[in-house]
Amino acid sequence: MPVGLPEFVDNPENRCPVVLLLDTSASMSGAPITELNRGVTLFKEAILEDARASLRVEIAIVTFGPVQLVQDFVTVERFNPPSFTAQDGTPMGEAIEYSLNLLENRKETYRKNGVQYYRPWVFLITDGAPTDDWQNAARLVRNAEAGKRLCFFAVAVEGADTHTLKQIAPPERPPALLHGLDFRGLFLWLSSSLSRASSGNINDPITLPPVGWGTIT
Amino acid sequence: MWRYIVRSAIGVAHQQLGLPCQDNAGCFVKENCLIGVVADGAGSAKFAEIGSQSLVKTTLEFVNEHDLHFSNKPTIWQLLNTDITQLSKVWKAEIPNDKYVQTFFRDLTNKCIKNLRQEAQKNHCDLCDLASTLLVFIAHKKWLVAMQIGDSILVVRERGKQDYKLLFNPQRGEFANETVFITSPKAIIDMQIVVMPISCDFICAASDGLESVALRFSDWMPFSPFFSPLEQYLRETVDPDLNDQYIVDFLNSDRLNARTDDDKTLLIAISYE
Repeated sequence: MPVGLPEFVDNPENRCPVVLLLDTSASMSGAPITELNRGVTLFKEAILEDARASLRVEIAIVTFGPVQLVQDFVTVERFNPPSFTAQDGTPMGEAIEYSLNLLENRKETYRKNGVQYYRPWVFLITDGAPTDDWQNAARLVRNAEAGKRLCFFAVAVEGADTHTLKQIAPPERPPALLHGLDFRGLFLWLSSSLSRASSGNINDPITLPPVGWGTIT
Repeated sequence: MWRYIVRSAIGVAHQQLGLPCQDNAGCFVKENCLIGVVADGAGSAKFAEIGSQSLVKTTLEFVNEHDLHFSNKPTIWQLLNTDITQLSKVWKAEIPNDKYVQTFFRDLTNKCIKNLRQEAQKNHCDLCDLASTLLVFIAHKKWLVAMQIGDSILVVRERGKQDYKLLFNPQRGEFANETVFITSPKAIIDMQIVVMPISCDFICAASDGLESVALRFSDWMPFSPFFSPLEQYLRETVDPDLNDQYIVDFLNSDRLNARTDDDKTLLIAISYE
């Protein structure tokens, strides 16, 4: 008698929440904002090229200033980023803190719905000149990175002032230039199992992406 | 009597990256006990496939070298404290002693780590480059003992029961692709052990590549329509090692690869009279 094939349970897909934290302040006008718009489009394309990432990545967009959520978390097929224009100040500190809260809320939603999730990513794309108090945000980012609670990517547009950015970005992942950035390599990470984050566990197999993450020298 | 088969297949993600299959597994029968082992090398570790291979080899050797008498006869004191109507049952008990089992698995884990250190030296790499999970079970007709470090799955169906049961909750961090490995400094503490006085009709051990299709995440219940055809296949296949096409085809099927990109290992066994 022929034996049937194993049937599969329908589980919700694992999710990887990503926040694009975009500097749309007045200092970004001209070439920087054009580069930023292009970067967001490239990010979307990179996700679409990766079947697994297309299913798993959920993107939200926060712009500053003022700080606002212009896109709540959506999967890539529903992600149609608007074209951004440059205006107003650069409350980067506030924007970072807002994003970290946004991620915590999202994770809570996942947990309530029995959805497993990956370590969240935050991409900060900026020309690097905050007009508010960013020190507390920098501390939160570095703590979250050290505790492996998220991956923070500081990305600078051409001609950016990277002095402050270097103090916000975690030391193990210094700021990178947006131009020529390979987003695709990052998604390889979604398929590799990692050592569970635990305090004092210094023998982790690897720390994290990035694959081919370029640093600013 | 036990009938079993164990097969692994590479995941599509590893194939695309030019990586080898990092899962490894083994199974054999000794003293009427069925011994199974599944090791899932960490995708993030450089020589994960060497790590998982070493773990399986060490485990099989270790089990071969040790006798599997985990049970001891009750002490006089225990007998004096036993209800008279239960006396013969207690006296005949063949339930493994928790302490024996713990010592056995702790010694096994230490031996595994020791051999991994040697492998690391041989390959000029760090211990963590050989990171892998480890799941080991020993099933007797009247009991089952098992250990797990990491997130493989062990599912059984007890004699006379319909439902399938998951024996270990997966060891996870907060995030979906994070687990514990035997190379972690706290491996011994992270190790989970079960000692169960049960007779198993069916046993399935699998790497986490199959988890998302075999277990319901909301409550970690095994999905019966996944397991029952596998059990039926074994019941109807006298020599599964010779007739393994069903399992090999399934593990390499597009249908499965569309649902998981990880390496997949399936160890299934039935007991029969």
